[in-house]
Amino acid sequence: MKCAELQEFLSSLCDGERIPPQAAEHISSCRRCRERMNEYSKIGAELRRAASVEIAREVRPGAWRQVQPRASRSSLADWWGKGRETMQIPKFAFALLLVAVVALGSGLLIDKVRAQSQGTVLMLTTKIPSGESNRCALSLVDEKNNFCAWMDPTQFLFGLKAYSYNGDQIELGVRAKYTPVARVEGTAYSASLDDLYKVPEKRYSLKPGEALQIEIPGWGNVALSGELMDHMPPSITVNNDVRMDPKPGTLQVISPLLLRDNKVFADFEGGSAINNTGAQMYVPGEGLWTLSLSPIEGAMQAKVNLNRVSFELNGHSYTILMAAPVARTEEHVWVLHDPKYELRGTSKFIGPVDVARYFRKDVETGARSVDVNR
Amino acid sequence: MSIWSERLTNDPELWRQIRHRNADAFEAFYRENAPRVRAFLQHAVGNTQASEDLMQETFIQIWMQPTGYQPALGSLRAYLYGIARKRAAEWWRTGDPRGREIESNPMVQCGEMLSILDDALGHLDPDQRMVLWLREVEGQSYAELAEILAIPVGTVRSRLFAAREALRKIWNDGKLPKEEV
Repeated sequence: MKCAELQEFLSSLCDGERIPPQAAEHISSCRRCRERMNEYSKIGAELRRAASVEIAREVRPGAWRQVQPRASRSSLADWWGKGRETMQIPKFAFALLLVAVVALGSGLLIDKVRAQSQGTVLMLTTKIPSGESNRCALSLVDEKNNFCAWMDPTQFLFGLKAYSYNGDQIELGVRAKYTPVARVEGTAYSASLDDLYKVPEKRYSLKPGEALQIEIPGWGNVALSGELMDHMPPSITVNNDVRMDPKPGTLQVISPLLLRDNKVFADFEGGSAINNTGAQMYVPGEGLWTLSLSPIEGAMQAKVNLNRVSFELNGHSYTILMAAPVARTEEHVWVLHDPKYELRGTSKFIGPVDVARYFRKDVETGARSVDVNR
Repeated sequence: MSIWSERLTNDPELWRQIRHRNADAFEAFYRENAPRVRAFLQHAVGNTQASEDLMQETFIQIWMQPTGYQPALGSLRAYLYGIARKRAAEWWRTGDPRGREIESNPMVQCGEMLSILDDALGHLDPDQRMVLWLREVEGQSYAELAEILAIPVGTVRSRLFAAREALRKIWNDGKLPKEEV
């Protein structure tokens, strides 16, 4: 084993972590590695010494004394009624845009992009009659994060909303419709949030830890089960498809943080785009960023280091940090920035894209700007 | 000193008291942790005033909405730093970017060595600074770091290594005499 191959283990060893026996054996007989470990240890000691100075500074009296806690959780408003204005339709709209131009029958899980820093969260597992399952996290205290949907335009529409939690059971609103369509090669299918709205909502009570069966006419039983969590988890724990070793020929962009000159300009914590040849991220005022595993006209090749993609553009250095490796090591990643791209009235979004199909479609239609205000 | 200081390590009991609006318990929790959270935020955002404000907001959030923590899922301190980290991310995400310049750290006033360290830390990515600080200074475990930073444990491991290696190279690149490291 060579020194360069086990440097990460040196760092782990400094933290009291166990390392593979081969690595331990090498370190015991390698003066250079032991010196490197000593350097890491000294860095830690110096940091703690510095911290001792900083932490000793007085803090102001707690401002928390000046505020009163909320007496109780606010009841969740009827999102279905008013949500078209305030809910994150843009996320849906973007997903639908992608469905329309790229997806041919593949299932689409749509969940929330927003980070959640507080409150009780229901981690809900949905198993549909075909045997496929998906998970999504629903906030029980934040009406902007209490909804998720799973739609396959050729198969089904399925939407879930958490209304309330009485300490024992959670009231769920479910909209579900089985919509089988014979697929035709080369045809793009789409479904919209409006389609989902047209499906009557039914209310159910779900007890955490217990399964709930819902019969959908023509489709079969959908099984729901859930457990409570203290925070909205990142997508990597939500989506079963996320891997530390991505599938060949696919990108996975998980909770990306976008930095320009080492300053954050977009944070997609909780958002993901996986299992396709590309990913797109839209940031209002910044335009559309496309990551691709194949060259695109006008795109630049980026440096890839596991979960970090970096590149230079217009005199600025850009880094995209992710919560998991973006692609296999033998893959290359290209980045295309369209600063003029605009989705009016939207917040940021992230989604997967079939690069070949998307850009071919783009050439055919010339349509790159979509107004989702309806 | 409040009797609660002795019980700060008993997370479930402390949390029960906080949920029952025991101001003495929360004050002890604040006194114990506020300076550390502020120091962490100082390195997360690089701005003294912002770090003070974000620290206050972090504790206000917990006091206002004491519903989010579940003892079975991790330590109270990990929960606390998780909220602080999200506050820092929110700070970077919003507001006027012209006001986001990294300022010198108060520790530069405390000696040349600390000034050099601060300078070296300033060259790291914010994510690297946070993970290194939480590990070395706060002693958070890999599992806790994964929870606080919302990343997998494997990424914690690789990010810690990257941070240490980056800092080591910066120090050895003439900014700090090697024998003093």
